[in-house]
Amino acid sequence: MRVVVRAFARLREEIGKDRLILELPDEATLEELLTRVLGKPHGGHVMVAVNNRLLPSEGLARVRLRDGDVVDFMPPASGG
Amino acid sequence: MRAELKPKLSPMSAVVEELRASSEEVGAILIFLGVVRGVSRGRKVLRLEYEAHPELAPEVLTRLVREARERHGVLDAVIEHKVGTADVGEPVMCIAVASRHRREGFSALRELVERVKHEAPIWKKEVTEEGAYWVEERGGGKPFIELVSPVEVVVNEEMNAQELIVRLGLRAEGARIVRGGHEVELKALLRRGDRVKIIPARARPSSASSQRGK
Repeated sequence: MRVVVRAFARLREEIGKDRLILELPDEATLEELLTRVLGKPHGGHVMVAVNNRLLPSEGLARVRLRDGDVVDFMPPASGG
Repeated sequence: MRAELKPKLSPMSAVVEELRASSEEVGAILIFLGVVRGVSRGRKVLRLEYEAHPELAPEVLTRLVREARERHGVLDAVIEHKVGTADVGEPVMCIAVASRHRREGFSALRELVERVKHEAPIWKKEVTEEGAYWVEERGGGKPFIELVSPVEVVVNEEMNAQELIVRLGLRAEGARIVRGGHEVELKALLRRGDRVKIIPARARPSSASSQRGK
């Protein structure tokens, strides 16, 4: 399946692109995607949205992705 | 009710007028205006660059305003947050609340300021004389303090459970608040004198009791 990853702020700079299109095995989880794109150390400190819906930080690893999903990786909020 | 990302914030007089006219019941208007500090951690700041998730940031800001109205009973609220490049001294975040009385207005305003800073997908990069850095106030995403076992605190001022967690610098996700042996929701109002236990996400009841015994 194919998913689109969008990265914001610091993560965009670390990845070097604001958008990636990735082929993943069917039934791939968010954790697998996080590891592939960001590497393990980043996993706990990323806000994630799938199809413009923010996900709670707990249980991210178990979320299964679907073909066509748009996944946003965002650093912790630092506005204000 | 309005929550927006803007390249330049509205004049304060316009925001005040908007809130003043929102209801005949308005008795107080409280404003928090964040401006760009010229010095940060000893470095001279040249400018800030704000980035926001274009769809999710306005959505989160709108939800925060709605929740503040529901929780605190304020009449109306406005959030404007800057996006793009901001010069030193420039206003970058305006949070304004209209309420019947000062008490609920202060509570709503304080909570909104903390929640916008910690929950809205908005980021800032500090450009200083020594280089440019993405600001992450929680030290790379970690909370200021991490609870490893339950703690008991006494509340000295009315606030809701979520605000208690934020004011202690803790992470709200997964934490449980227990008052009088019963878990309360994050939006539950805590009163002066309430004794509450905060149980972190990793200390579930079975481990909590064993940790207390250590």
